[in-house]
Amino acid sequence: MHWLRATVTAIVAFAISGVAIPASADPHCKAIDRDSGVCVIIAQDPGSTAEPGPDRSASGTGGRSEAPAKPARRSGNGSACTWEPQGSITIHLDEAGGPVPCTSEYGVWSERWNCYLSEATPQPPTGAPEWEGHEQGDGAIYECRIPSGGLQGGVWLAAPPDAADVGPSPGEVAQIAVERMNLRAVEIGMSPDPDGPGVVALPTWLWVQDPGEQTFGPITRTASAGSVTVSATARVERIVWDMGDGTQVVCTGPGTPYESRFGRDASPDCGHTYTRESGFQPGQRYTVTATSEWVVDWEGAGQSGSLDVDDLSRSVQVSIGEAQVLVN
Amino acid sequence: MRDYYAVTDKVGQDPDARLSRLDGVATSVELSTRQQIVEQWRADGWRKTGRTTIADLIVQSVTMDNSDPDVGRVPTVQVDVCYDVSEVDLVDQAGNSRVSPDRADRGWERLYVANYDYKTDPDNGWRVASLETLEKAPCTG
Repeated sequence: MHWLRATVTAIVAFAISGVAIPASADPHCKAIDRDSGVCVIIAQDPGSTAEPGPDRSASGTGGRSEAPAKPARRSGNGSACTWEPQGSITIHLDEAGGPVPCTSEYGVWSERWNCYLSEATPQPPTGAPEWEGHEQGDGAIYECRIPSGGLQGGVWLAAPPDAADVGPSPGEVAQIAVERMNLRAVEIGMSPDPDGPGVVALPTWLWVQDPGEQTFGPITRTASAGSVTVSATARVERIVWDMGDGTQVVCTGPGTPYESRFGRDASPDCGHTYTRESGFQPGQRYTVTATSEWVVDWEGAGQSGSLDVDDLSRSVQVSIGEAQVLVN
Repeated sequence: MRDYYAVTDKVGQDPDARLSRLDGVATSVELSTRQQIVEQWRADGWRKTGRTTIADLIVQSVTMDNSDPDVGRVPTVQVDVCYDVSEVDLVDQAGNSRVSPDRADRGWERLYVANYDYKTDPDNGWRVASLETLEKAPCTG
């Protein structure tokens, strides 16, 4: 953080319609445009600026198919660099602040100075006000420009600005919030029960045994790093049930727990019907795996986005047999 | 010095005048600043009328250190100029003046006139590299 040692800047404000700053109105004015009579350079202390639908798969009830690819949700980490226009020195009032690239043709973004910094070429001469008393060779003078390129003046820095000095992006902070959620895989609810035998052609019901914020969401946590605070909300977008017989069932809800009153009905929202007994499988059982696919929406630093987190899975084994009917 | 004011007047008055003309009278941060101001005027449809004159001029210091032009150790003359813009106006496309009512017709500013090409062009390589407004009473007379 070499640039924390920077001392004083000069901010240039240019006179345009309605935003000219009368020189007499600002006691911090350091330079007046002799033609327009407005202040074009304002002394400013560094750091006084403020630090900025998924493609759901349909619920399955036993379709014999591979699950569609997981919807792409990740929208990026946002930018760690945010521009906050300051009313008194903003060049274009119609320019909205917000996230900006951390590097541009105008240099490296500085949250501290609220502008892009690039070394002035050539460097101002001995005694020039930009040096603020520093000797030539002790640091350098950098031009400070807002995102549209408007020059804001020159600042002295002890060392070159480094893009690596920028803080974490909101998306990276959102990852921290996600870690605090302690998300876990669902406990599998299933009828027939994994401990008991199932029967070919009898509907199998699938559900989340322990629906809660940590297994199905939504769950919200906040995290902060540097000047960035992000609120992240995670939820299960879908659960992919691998039934072990080559079928994947995609359910966007937690499913419906089976009750005896449902008889031989199929699950209304998440189920499967085996068409072949499991005797040919290793251990003579199908391995059923429920994979929860989470998405996280985050908001912070004047930005928002979404990201994926690792899928969470849990498996059980189930025995499926043929029903034998004796006819005399 | 007079060239500096004359050229800055000219590029402000004539929307078609090449901004590169400023290269001959300004450099470093003053060049960037002056370019920015004129570009903004042109973007807003403003132009300058009249001529800036020098009412008084005081040489404050002269430094002939040319040991490292890359870091700004160049021959430099600090000059305090009392300018007069009483004949200068800044008008928009409708012809309305955009000059602040608070503008003083005269004022002092310190120019840092440096020669980054002193070795090869000791006579004609002088440019205004930096400028600051001085807080003192305008000159009279």
